[in-house]
Amino acid sequence: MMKFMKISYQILLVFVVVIIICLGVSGWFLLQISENIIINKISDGDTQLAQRVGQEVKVEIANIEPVLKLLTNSQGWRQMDRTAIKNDLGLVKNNFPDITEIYVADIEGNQIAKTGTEKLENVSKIWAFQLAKGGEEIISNIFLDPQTSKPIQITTLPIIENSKVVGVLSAEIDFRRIMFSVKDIDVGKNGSLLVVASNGRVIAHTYMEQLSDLDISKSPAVKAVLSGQKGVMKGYVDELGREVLGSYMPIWELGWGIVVQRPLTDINTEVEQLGNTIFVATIISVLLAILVGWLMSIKISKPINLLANASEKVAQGDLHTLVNVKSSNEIGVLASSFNQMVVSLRKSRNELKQWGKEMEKRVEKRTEELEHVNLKLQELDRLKSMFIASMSHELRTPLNSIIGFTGIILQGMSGEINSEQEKQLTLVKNSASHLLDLINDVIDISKIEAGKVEIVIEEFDLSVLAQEIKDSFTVAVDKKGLELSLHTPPTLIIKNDERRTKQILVNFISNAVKFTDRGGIEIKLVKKDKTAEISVRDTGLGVKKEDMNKLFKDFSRIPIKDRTIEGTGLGLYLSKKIADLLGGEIKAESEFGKGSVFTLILPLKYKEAKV
Amino acid sequence: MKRILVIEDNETNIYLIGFILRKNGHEVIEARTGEEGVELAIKDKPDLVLMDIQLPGIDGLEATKRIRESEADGTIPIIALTSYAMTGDREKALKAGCTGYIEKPINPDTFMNEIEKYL
Repeated sequence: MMKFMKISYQILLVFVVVIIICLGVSGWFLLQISENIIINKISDGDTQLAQRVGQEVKVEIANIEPVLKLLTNSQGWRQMDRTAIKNDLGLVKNNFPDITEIYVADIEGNQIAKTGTEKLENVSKIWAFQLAKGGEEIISNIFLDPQTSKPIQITTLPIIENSKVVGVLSAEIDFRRIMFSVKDIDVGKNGSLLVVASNGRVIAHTYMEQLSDLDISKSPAVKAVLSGQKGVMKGYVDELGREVLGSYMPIWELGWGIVVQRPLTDINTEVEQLGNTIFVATIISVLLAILVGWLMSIKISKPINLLANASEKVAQGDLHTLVNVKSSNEIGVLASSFNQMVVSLRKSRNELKQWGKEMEKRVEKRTEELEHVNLKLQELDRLKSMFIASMSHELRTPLNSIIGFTGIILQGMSGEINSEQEKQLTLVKNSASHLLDLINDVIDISKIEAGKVEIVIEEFDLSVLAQEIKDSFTVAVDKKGLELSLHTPPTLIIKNDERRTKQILVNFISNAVKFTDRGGIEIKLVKKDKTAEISVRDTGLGVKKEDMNKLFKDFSRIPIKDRTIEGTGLGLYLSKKIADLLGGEIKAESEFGKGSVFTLILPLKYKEAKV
Repeated sequence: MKRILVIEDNETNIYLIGFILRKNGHEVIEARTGEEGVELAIKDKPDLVLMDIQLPGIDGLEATKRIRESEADGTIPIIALTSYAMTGDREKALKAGCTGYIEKPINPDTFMNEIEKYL
């Protein structure tokens, strides 16, 4: 049997499970998508930042060189016009604040113009001058000025007139401002921004001040940006040893690159925070769903519960139960049908009750009538019994006398009688005996039919009884010249009515003697598991098949050709009735012209009459 | 020769039984009621009593009980004369103290053989 579970709990359970699964799955996807969005957002921002910084650097630095080149090609400069040069240097200095020092020297190395207030010097010994004098454009690496410890770059350009170097321009660019501006750029709590020059040197780095030796040569993002690519790279280890998300953007004009790097731990923290938010939102949603589901299940199950309780009451017989459900759905229909059903049940029950009462009255009336009839019948029965008892007494008393005295006379006790008298008296005696048998049979039958036979149950030896009966038939059998044999175990004790058993067996044997002219009669006793069987077999006339069913009927005598055999026609009928009373049965087998077997089967221990 | 008390209310039966017994050389005492039978049984001390069960006044069973009560040793054979019609009479008779029974109507051919069993 399935365990009982309230319908509201079932609904709630299903609801909650479905909600949790849905929210869980969608939360997981949301988290995945959000992570991508976060990464995209960050990398987009960082790429933009890199681009912006690149733009600035380009403006700051990259424009210096072309301007300087333009100046060296101007006519005044080619003529080495000191006033024009001096004027131009002032302009450059004002427009490019990162240029800390700029001078122009003639071919001899004597400075002819210079910013600042310092005295003009000879720079012929400086290697950059010497290279520029040879016509080369020198743009140095950024290095730290040994005197001022400033990160500087020196650009040295030749001034050429008619393919001849006439002078040299040298400018010192201070990178501190760019560096500091890079340092101050906000790249989040732990993010970093670096500017790398085309030769792979770090121009600027957020952590440049804290870390003196930054090896960026292995960074794949730096390699990518220096090869001119822009993009995003996730999960590599940066120069600070952290796993990072790197967004990079080259400054194509310079061959430099900008890389913005953020530690993945920061991003994960952000994702985690988002995950937590999603988780909390999911929990709140589930709680809300449970609440809604609970309310819904109550709303759904309430009418069902009402119906269930009502039907239980109805099942227990309370037909005054109606359900008050006013739902406009199937449950409402169910409830109204239920109410209709209860009403019609109540109606039928009342009708049934009414009908039952009427029936009771009728039965009472009939019973009264029957009792009346029964009393009458009892009275009649009593009268019948009395009649039979008195009749039998009245009939038998004279018969006793007739039989007794004919017997005495036949014995010669009252004097000699002649042979004719003996013959006639014998006829009188036989007729009287027959009449007595008839009366006795009638009395027996009427008693059995009235159920007034007392049977006396006691243990007795059936083989002794059979022997006695056999002996009592010796004379009759001898007279007809028949054989009479008895086959029996030494003892066969049964518990039953001895006198009634004897009555049946006497009937069997006397029938056998009556209907047998040649041959013999065999009595056989057999003890079976729970029964004793006594069979009487004769070699007499036998019974035709079509007459077999008449054997045990009252007053039925099977007609026999050319013969009249004395008998009442009650013998077997009575025997069968008695056998029933004794809890036994009688079986008859016969073959016409060859003989019959009648068998009485009795229980070894009498239990109860069949009738 | 034995003394036999016949207690029987039917004159024909008394005559029949008495006739057979006397013919066989026995002395017969006759009683018509139970009370008379009990009195004679105590007074005359017969060798055998033939007791009819259906009697006017006290019946054969009661009479048998009274005879048995009066005796010290209870040795008089009392043979009940039972009717075929009254099933259960034999058992009642034996219970009341009878020694045996003979079924009525008596058969003159076998009657004396049965009587002699008890003498």
